[in-house]
This record gives sequence, C-alpha cells and structure tokens, in this order.
Amino acid sequence: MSPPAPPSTGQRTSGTVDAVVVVHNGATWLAQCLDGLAAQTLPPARLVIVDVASTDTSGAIARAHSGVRRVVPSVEVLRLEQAVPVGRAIEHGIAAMPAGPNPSDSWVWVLHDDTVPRANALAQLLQAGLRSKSVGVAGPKIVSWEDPRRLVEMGLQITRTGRRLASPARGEADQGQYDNRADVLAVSTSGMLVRRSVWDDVGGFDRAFVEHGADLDFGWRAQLAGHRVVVVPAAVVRDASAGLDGERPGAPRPRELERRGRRAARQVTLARCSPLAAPFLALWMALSAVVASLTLLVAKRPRLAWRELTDVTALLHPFATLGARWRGRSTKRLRRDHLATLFVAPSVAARTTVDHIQDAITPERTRARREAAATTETGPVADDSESLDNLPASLPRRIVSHPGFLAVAAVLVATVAAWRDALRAGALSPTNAGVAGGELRPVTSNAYGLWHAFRDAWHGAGLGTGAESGPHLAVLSALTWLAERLPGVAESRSSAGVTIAWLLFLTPVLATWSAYLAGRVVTSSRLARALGALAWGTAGVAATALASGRVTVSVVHILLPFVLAGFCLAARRDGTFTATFATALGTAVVGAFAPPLLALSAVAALLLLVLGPGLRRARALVLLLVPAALLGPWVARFVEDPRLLLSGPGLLSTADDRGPWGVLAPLLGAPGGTTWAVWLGAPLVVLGVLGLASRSRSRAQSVGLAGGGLLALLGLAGALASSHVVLGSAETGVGRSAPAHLWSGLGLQLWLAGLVVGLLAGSRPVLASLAGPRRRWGFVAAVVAAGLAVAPVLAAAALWGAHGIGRTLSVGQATLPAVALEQGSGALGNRLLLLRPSDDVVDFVLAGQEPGELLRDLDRAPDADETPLVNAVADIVGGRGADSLDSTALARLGIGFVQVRGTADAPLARRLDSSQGLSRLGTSERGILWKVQPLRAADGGSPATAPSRARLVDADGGLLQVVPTSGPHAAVDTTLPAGSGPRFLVLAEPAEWAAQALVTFDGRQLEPVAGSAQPTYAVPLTAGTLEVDLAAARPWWRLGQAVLLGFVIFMAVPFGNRRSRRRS
Amino acid sequence: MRNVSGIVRAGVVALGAAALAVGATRVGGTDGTVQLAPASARAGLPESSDVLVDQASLVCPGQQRLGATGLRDVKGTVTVAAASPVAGVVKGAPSTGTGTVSLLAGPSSGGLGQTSDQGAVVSAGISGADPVLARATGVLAPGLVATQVWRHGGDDDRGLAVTPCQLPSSDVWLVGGGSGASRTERVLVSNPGANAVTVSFEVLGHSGRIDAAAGHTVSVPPLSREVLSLDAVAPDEPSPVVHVTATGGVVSAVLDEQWIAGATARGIDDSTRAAAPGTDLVVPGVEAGGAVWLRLANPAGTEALAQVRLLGDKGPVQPDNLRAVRVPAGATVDVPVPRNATAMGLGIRSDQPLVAAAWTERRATTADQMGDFAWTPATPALGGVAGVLLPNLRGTTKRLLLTAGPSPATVQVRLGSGQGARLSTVTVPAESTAVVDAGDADAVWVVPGTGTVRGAVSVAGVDAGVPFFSVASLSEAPVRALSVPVRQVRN
Repeated sequence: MSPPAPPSTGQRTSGTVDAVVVVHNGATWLAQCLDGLAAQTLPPARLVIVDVASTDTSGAIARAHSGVRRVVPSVEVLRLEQAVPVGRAIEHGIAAMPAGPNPSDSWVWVLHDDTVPRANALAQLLQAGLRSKSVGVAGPKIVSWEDPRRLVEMGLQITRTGRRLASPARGEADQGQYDNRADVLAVSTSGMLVRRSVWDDVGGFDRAFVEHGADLDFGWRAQLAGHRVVVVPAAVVRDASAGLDGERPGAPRPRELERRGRRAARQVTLARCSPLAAPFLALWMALSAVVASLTLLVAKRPRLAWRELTDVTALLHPFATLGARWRGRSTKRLRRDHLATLFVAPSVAARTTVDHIQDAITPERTRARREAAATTETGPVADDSESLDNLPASLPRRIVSHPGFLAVAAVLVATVAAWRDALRAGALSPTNAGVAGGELRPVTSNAYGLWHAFRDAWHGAGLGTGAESGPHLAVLSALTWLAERLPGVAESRSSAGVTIAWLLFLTPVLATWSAYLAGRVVTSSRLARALGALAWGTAGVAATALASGRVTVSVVHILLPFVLAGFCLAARRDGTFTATFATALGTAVVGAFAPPLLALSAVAALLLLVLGPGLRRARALVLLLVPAALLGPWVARFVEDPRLLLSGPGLLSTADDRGPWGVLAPLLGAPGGTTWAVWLGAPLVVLGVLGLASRSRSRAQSVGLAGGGLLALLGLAGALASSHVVLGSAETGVGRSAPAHLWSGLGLQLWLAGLVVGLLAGSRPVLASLAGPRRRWGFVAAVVAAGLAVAPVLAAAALWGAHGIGRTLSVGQATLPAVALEQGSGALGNRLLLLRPSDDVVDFVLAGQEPGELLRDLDRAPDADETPLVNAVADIVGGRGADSLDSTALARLGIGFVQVRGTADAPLARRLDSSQGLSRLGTSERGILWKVQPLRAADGGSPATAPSRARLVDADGGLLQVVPTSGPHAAVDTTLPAGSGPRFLVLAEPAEWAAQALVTFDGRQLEPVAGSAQPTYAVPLTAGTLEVDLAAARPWWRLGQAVLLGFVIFMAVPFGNRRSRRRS
Repeated sequence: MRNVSGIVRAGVVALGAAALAVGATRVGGTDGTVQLAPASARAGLPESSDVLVDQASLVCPGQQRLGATGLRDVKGTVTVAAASPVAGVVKGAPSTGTGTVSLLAGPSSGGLGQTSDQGAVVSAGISGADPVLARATGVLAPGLVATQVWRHGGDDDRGLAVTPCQLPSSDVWLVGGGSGASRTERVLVSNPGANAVTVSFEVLGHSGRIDAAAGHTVSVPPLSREVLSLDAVAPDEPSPVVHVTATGGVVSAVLDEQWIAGATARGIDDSTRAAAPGTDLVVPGVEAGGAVWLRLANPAGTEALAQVRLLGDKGPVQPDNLRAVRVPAGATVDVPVPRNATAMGLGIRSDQPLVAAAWTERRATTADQMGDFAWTPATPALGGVAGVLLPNLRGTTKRLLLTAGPSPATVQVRLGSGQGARLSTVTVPAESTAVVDAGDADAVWVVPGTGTVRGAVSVAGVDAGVPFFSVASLSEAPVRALSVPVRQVRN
C-alpha cells in the first residue's frame, strides 16, 4: 500500500476534472490504479476507462471496480476492439466526455493502468493548474512502483538536439533534489493533467506522434502555443513503467520501446525546432550518433552503441516530420527561443555525458576485495593490505614494504648477479647482436625481417620455404618492434637478437611478477603470493631453460601463471569475458611458442565446455576456439604433421635429460641438476603436495585444488614420458643429428605450477596459525612450514645468482662479415654461403637478409628443390671437380660471399683459393671470407659489382643489369629503362618460389618462363615499373587473424566495469 | 576427520608422483621408447662416397731448364703426353659418354692438342717455359695420366728426365740435389689455378733446417710457374730436402737437378713429389747397376731411428749398416745402399715420420765415366689405376718395377696404349720387387688388384756410349674423389 497521503491542501477548487485511464492488458496493476483514483482527496467528476483491446481481465476489473464507482459519479468503460496507440486511446477517452461550457475550467487527468496516484495527487495538480491561467498542462512527480523513495521521472528533460536526458536517473533516490523544478518542456502522459481548452487549442496529439513522443510533442506544442507546462513535485504518482520493464504482456521488448522513445524524441525535435536549424540539427544528430556510437563501442558497450546508432533512423521519415511541422504551424504563438530555458543546458548535457563515461571506465575499486572475500578466506588475520588501506602509509614506504615488489626486486638482483659475466660482455647492449648458444641460434635481423619471415608467402632462411611459418615469429616481431621504439635499439645490427637477449634476461623478473599477480586466484595473501612467485621465478627449470637459451620456455614461464589463472577465473561463476579473452590471447601466445601447451589448454577448455554450467560454457568456447583461430592456418599444420604439436622451436632435447640424480632431479623440479642444490626443491614439493590437502571453503575451491593436483601430475607424467617419445632428429653439431624428444622442462613447469598452487593454498592455515596461535603444536608446525618454505626458495635464488647462467650463452656470435651484411641487406640482396666442414660432412648455411631459424627445431626435409644449391656446394667442397672450380654456379644462386670456418691450411680453404671466380677477402677469427665474382655482363649490359638476387639478362643469359631488391626473397619495386632486345628477369630463388610470388610489370602480371632452372620472367621492352611482391600467404586468413586479434585485444582490455554495464 | 577430501587429494598427488617416478626408473634405456619419426644421426644425408671425377687436371712442369733468372738456359727436347685409359680399366666408369683430354700451356691456356677417344694418347712437343696442363673432362677424366719427357744429348747438359705430371697440392716434399760446383737444383712451382698462390719454402739440410730458406716466399701468378734456385737459398748443402707449402691455392712442384762433376756430366733428373712424412715408407723402383743412395729427412723435432731393408726379388734383406740409421731432428741423412743384383725397393721404418727418396745412377765404364742419374721418391701405395706414358723413347729399355707391401699383390699390367696393349697379370710376393719388361711400349698402365703395391718405371738407354737413365714413379691417377655430403642448416 502507498504511504498515507498528506492532507489535502486548500479548499475544493472550482475546476472540474475528468479522468481518463488507459488500460491495455494491465490487469496486474489496474485494480490498484483504480483504488488510487478512488482514494483521491479530490475525486474526478467523470471517469472514462479506455480499454485498448485488452485480452486479459482488465476489462472485467474496470467494469467491476466498485470503489471507484463509489467515489466517481460517472464511470464509463470504453472498449476499443483494436489496439491503438496510447495517444489515440487518450483522444478516444477525452472525446467520450463532452466538454463543459467553460473548457478553460475543465481539466482532463490522464492515467495509465500501471500508475497509482497518491491520494492528494490530483488536488495538487489541479491546484498548480488553477494557480495560473497560463498553466495548460501539469505533470506529477513519478516515482517507482516498488519503492516510492526512488524517482522515475519529473517532467521530460531534453537537450536542444533532441536527446532525452534521464534527469533524474531512473531509480535515483528522492531527496527532494528536484523539487524546485516547475516549468518543463513536457510531461509524461502518465498522470498528466491537461486543461480542456488547451487540449482543444493544441488539437490533441499530432498524428505523427501518437505512440512514442506523443507526450513530448504535446507539451512542446502547448508551450509554443503559449501554455505553460509545469511539473508538480507535491503530486506523486507511482508508476510501474510496465512497458519499459517488460512486464506488460504482448508489449514490445523494453529495449525496443526505449529505442522508439529516443527516436521519437529526435523526430519531435526535428518537427518543432526552428525550420532553419532543422537541416543542421539533422546533420548533427547523424554525426553525434555515429561518434557516440563509436565511443561507446570503444568503451565496450555494444548495446548502447547500437542504441545510439538507431537514433539515426529518426532522420529516415522526413515527410512525417515535415507534416507534423506543417500541422503545428497554426497553434504556434511563441517564438521558439522563448522556450530556451526549458531545454537542458548544453553544459549540463556535456557534464552528464562525461560523468557517464567516467562512471563506465573507472575500475570498480571494491570489486577485488569483494571477490577475495567471496572466494578466499584470510582467516582471523587481517590481511596486511587492509591495514595498509586503513592507515595509509607514504607511497614509497608502501612500495618498499610490498611483498610482491620485494620478490620482484630480489629476483632482479639475483638475475643481475647471474648474468654478471654476460652483462660485462655486453649481452644486452644494442651495439651487440644479443646472445646465442645452446638452443638459441645467432640471429641478425630486426622486426621487419621477423615480420616478413612470418607473413610472406615465401620466407625463411636459405632458399626459403612456402610452409606456414610459426606464429612465434609474429610475437617476437611485435616485441622487437616495441623494443625498437627505445633509443639505440633500432640502430642495432640485430634488434631482434637484442630483444631476445632482454627477454631472456627479464624472464625471471617477469615470471615472478606474473606469478605474484596470478596467485591472487588462489590466495589474497601478499606474503604467500610473493613467496610462490619467488619460487616460480627462480625455479630450476627456468634457470636451466635460460642457460640453454630456450626463449620459448621463457615466454611460457612468464605467461603460464596468467593463463592458468585465466582458466581458473573462466571456470568460476564470477569470471568475466574480459579475463577470458585475455586468457585466450595469452593461451594463443603460449601456444605459438609451445604447441604442447596449446593442446593441453584445448583439452582443458573442452572439459570446461562439457562439464561447466551456464555462461562458463560460453567462456570455455572462447578459450577453445579463439587461440586456435588466432594462430590461424598454422594450427592446420598439426594435422599434416602431428609432431608439431609435441615439439616446438627450442623445446627439444637430444641428450638424456637424466643427470646423476636420475628421476629425482625432475621430481624436484630441476631438470639436469647435477649438484646437491636439487634438494632445495624438496621442501617445495613436500609443502606443495601437503598444501593441496588444505581444507577448501567451497566446492569451487576444492575443484580448483584438484585441478592444481591434476595439472601437477600431468606435468610430471609428461616430463617423465617425454624422453621416451622420439619425435625425429635434431641437429647436434656439424653434420651431426641425434634423436630428439620434447624437453622435460615443459612438463616440469606444469608440475611446478601445480605445486605452487598447493603452496599458496597451504599458506592460509599456516599464516592463520602464525598470526593467532590456537594450539602450541599448531604454531610450531606453522613456523616449521614457513621456514621450510622460505629458506630453500631464498637459498635457491641466491645460489642461482651466485652460480650464474653458465657458459652456454655467449655474446656476439651473430657477426657476419660487415661487407656481406651490407650487400645482403642492400639492393643486391646477395647471400653468404657459410661452410662448416667436419671430417666427413660439410654443413652449410645460406645466410641472406632473411633471418635463419631462431631456435633449434626438428630436422625437416626442405620445402624447395635444393639440388642446384647442394650440387654447387658439393662441387666446392667435394672432389668431383678437381681444382678448377667455377664459381658461376654460386653467382647464379645470388651468393656473393663464401665463408669457411676453419684455418687457411684446411683443404677446403685451399680448394676455394684455387677456384675460379673466388677471391679471398680476408681472414678473421670466424673464418676465411671469399668474394664471388659477379656474372659476366653481356655486350652493352652494365657490369655488376657483385652477384645479385635479381638480375636482368638477355636471350643468351648475358647479364644486362642488376635489378635492385627491396625486401627479403627478392621482393622488387623498381623502374626499368626500355630495352633493346628480348630480356628476362631471373631471380636467384628456387623454382617453388614462383608459385608464391606475384611479378608484375606496369601492373600487368608476368608468368614464369616454363622449364627454366630459376624463376625467369620475360620482361617487355618498354620502360616500366617492375614489382615482385611476395604477397602474404593466405591473405584472407591473415586479414581474419588481424581482425580477430584486434577484436580479442579489444575484448581483453579491462575497459569499463561491471557496474556500469549492469546499469546499461 | 573433517578434511577427508583434502587428504585424499594430496594423497593421490603424492602417490601419483611417486608411482610416476618409480615407473620412470623402471623404464630405462631404449625400452618403451616410441618413435614418431625416424631419427637418424645424419638427418637423411648421404654417406661420404667415392664418385668418379668428371674433370681432372695434371700439371707438367714444361721446359725445366728455361726461364730461370741467373741460371743457364738449356733447351731440351720436351714431349708431353696425356691419355686416359681404355674403357674397362677404370672400374665403375661408364662405357659410353663423351669427354676430352687436352694439353694446355701457359697463362692463356692455349691448346696444344686434344683427343676425345678413350685410350688415345695426345702428345705435343713443348718449347716454352710455361707449365703444361693436361686436362680431361667427362668420361675421359677418370684415370688421366700425363708424363713429360725431357731429353738432351751432348756433353755437359746431357740426360733424360721422365717426369710424371702431378696432381696439384698445397704441400709438397721434394728430395734431391747436393753440393758440388756445378750441381744445380731448381725448384719449379707451377700454379694451375685461377688465382695467384703464395708459396713458401723450407729446406732441410745435412745439419738441420737451413735458415736462409726459411721465410722465403714467392707468389705464383695464375697458370704460370716460378723457378727457385736452391743454390741461392741453400748453397753447398750436400743433401737438401725441400718442403713447398702453398697458401691461397694448390701448386705442383718439381725439383730439377743437373750435376756436372768437374768436366764430367753426371746427368739430369727431376725429383717429383715424395710421400708425406711417414713412419713406414717404401721407395719403389730402385734399379740395380749403379750406386744407390738413400736420403732420409726428419722434419720432426726429435731424432729418428730408421731401419732400412732391401725389398728385392727374393724378399726383404736387412743389411747391417742399415739396421739403425739415425736421422737428427730437422736434418737429412744420405746413406749408401748396398748394391743389389736386381732392381729392388727400399722399405723404411722409423720411429719418427720421415721423408725419403733414393738416388740411383748409371755411368759409362769408359772415358770420364759420364752418366745419368735418377731420383726415386717414396710413394704412397697405389689405390687405383696408375700409368706412365713414354713418348719419344724408342730404343730404350723400359722396365716396370713393382714392390709389394706386407702381403703378396696381384697387379694387372697393360703395356702399350690403345686396344693393342699387351695385358698381363703380375703377382708380386710380399715385400719383394717384381720386374716387368715393358719392351718398346709407349705406355705402361698398372691396375692394382689385391695387396698393396707401389711401382715405378725405369727408362734406360745409351747415347753415344754414355747411358741415360730416368725413373718415373707411378702415382695414382685421379679416378675417384671423395664426395663429401653437404647438408643445409637453417642457421
């Protein structure tokens, strides 16, 4: 029941009031509405209940309501058999009551079936109406049906551009803050009291606006006709907003209603504004709708964005608007600028917008704590974070006493100590080319080179390949690109190498940081998380991976905590799609570097998809599909070669991982550990397993801990089994390969992650016992456990710092001769043939500007037909051709230089010395360098200074000119002069290259000449532009990947908050 | 217990980890290993293999006694002959196919003669001071043999030098020369390559390394030769041994020696490349009928103790004075070898690697006992076809001397060129020397069968009552080359 109405104010006024109640399927509320009407201190004289084709019991209620009939002398129920707009219904109702002799003293009160007026509502309205002759329309304060202390509407607020402003916002608490409002542009028809003369004067509702915007249009026209429209705060009407809340059966969806309302407001504005302003207003509406829509899209409010965009549809009915304008011309008495004060001021509108945006994007400060409180238990100990919040210390003090910061700082110190020798050698200096050794190959490239290696259809070291390249190249390319923004790095000879070196260097620090943040899903205790992060960041498996240059494992080590936490969040009830998309992105990156983990994550997502309830399935679907889709066609290669799923660059091992400690070393998380230091891992293992036994507060927590245990076991099983699954062979030295298997460290990372989960979970009872000992032995056990947890982790970190990263990684291996680098990356684009002879085999590297393999991978059959190259090299190093070697085969392959690792006394060196067309340039510690003579120029051709990747030849094969290249694998964009005879473009690439490259001359595509050993194209005699484009492999896939990546990043950016989204 | 599930959870993990660990220790070695792809140690590389050469070049020194500044020019009658064996001699060679054998001279590589028939001998007279290249291509490349014959009559500068043309190399040991007023030695270094080669010399002498020669380098332009007078760097050295090292390419080197003792012409001969320092050497083709000296050089840093045996027709003989020959470090030693009734080989065993060659002479018994001599270096055992062409030597006695290694050897001998050659199979007893009379054959081909064998061809004749004499060692013709597998790696 409504609260008791305030006593009626003043004596009975002289005006007569007729009431119209519009009913449409409003059985739920109608009785109360009529009760309210009956309870009026000033009951209306006549009542017409317009039943708009109700299909429920509304009609019966209307006919049977006795209360209202007791109070109102004349009650009539007008049944409309067809559904008509509310405006029409009101018109019918008013028409059913013939006007009295003095229409200016006669009033009509319009009510909807879902409104309940307070007892004095009509009296208050009428009083306001009678106070001044000029008042034509009076509206009540509309409050919420359920909670009358919450406001719904107080007059219609609209900007000059027709944007409805929710002022007050629906649901805003009523503290009387709007009670000084009087004159408004229009009021809602719900509870509207209108002077009969004004109704007749204005002519009722315009036929263009009888449903939505009827109230606004009516009020506006009344104002223009010189009648005031006021809102009466003392008159209160409870409104169920049944239409907007979607509770009215058969009504359109609430969102649709809202959209139509907005649209109608715009149309009304267009119809009632100054005719001169109308075109500009229309333009502004269109523009602002698009801009607002885009802004909302960026703020991740797609629904709101769509709503904004639908405002544009207001412009789609210009004739209706013009008609309304034409019809309204006769009643207009005031100048439009007289109404200026009735609109919402632009500054207010702007401020409201800014407030909304701010409200939407500021993170919810309380959310984290709420979540922590809901999911974790800190025990009797107040988390120190709370005490910090309660007693805010100075910022520096807060930072240095922050356990997470301390853990990261400690790891940084240990890392610097461990890298001391490498740092002294300039491992991280941009003037060097990074580090190499172990699994990591020397690399001389930059972001551009890595990007092309990923993107181009024909790419890769040596003669190249057309196979889909690993997406890790794209990730490294992006990282390198970012690094190149730093001063000095872009000028480095190998910004990629420098970036990789930095990545390796920062791995423990970043891994510690990520583990600290990710640990939040298990416990909110900063101390416990800091310890877990320290254990993770300096884990033996990470140190071993670093020491052997396994960049892929480093990346996994950094991202794995995030991914695991993300999966955990996605499986929780309160998980978000933002976190899920971020996790999917992280999973994709991890998968790009370590495909086995991609497989594992897919299985986990599949499990969640099958077992998870509700929205979690949708999140699981994202986790299942997005990473695979992001990695694109590369994933399809798993089908061709399943070994790819079990291997990865830098993830192989050709040695027996088992050290002197046997199976104990992997069990203790230190693969290949040789010293007693492996035992430092033992407490972590014991505590981690024990921690999994800690009591869980909820089923979710219990499932999470079981998941952690399963992860640990899976990882351990994978680590122990990996050495029994031979995936193929991998290079171990010059001319040597050995059976290769997946490095056990990858599995051990999971084992370790599971143990850290246990450690974090187990920290809760331990910390609780330490803070508030209840039993003595419990306290002692807690002290022992804490000591066991802390001391070995710190000792291991210190030991790692002291031992250093070993000697496998060394600085400056990627030094190719400067002259070769210059020619290789320049217009000539020629290659360096690097020979590594051993006793019975010669390995060779064809080094060009294309980066070679960054990390050791499985031996694979070449994609291109290497026969000419192999024959040329075999002729050089083998005995077949005696001493009179001819270097033209090399020049044809675009090889500008030959370098031999070895001494000048080596037989191979002597052979090359005596070869025709090779001249020795010099000797360095890396070997002896020969220059290859360029091909002989044809008559009239311009001689070359060195062999080139692309050349123009005449019909006899004589060199006409060198064609300058502009990118890897003979990408060309140049202008050729007119020729005098038949001429051909020959590219020093394998025949398979031609299938991927697009060669055009003046925009016309050239077809390769059939039967030629190298890709050859007949070039027209006219001068023109020659282009060789190694169009992106599968351009649509690439585009799709890019779009998806953009979308995923957009979705993953934690922009906006739930609160604002809920409200929207 | 209230926390049963937790304990179960931890217990399962602990037990699972333990079970996995125990299981891992049980499955050891290659048991239980799954191979998803064949893992080869060589990653699909072909093994190293011998392949038939499709191009071969041999370097002949050209007119030895022309074009040396400061030395007297003596123009001899020089004939160079080159040939490829008839089909079927080289095992595995294709019976059909094309190829050429050609003789080229000088920096312009002008052609002196060419043939495209298997077994046909192409020969040419040489008059210039440029090296001559015998080059064969295609099917004619395997088994290419070339020989240069220098001959001059008269009083002082008389003699015969049959010089097998050599495969170029970067490291050549030459044994020859001696002291005496008119005993001159010139080292001819020919560069068959397309780039200039720097050649350095090291001379070991009777009392150690000769400092004056150390660091002596010459640059040999492409397709040319340079002549070094040994007397200029090591005057009065009684027993020099020259070590030629090439940098920046490969060369062929020959030591040409002329000896006029007083007014007596003692002869002329070319000493060709000796086997690289070794502890078990054999000098084949030591003819009987004159004084025989053996020169040993010890390039090592410690004194060598050598044992020299005579490998005659009846097996090895150990003379007492050759039972223990001391060769000081870095020095050379000349030891006289007892006369033997028949041709023989010399077997040398030592505790340090040595370089060896034998000197043999034939002298007239009348007047001032003019004569001629020959240097026979220790040679590596023959692994394949070898041969000596004997152009322009009608009326001389030609003998093929074959010395077997520790086991008996069978050798197929082909005397004469072309299809009209006489074929025979010779069995050489272990550590013995067999002599095959070559009659008037213009070519001697040897195809070793079983056992290890070394050989030489001696040519002897008489001109105006004075003997002329030379020995050409047999060295393996270029037939096969080790094809080293190459493999491309991606970085």
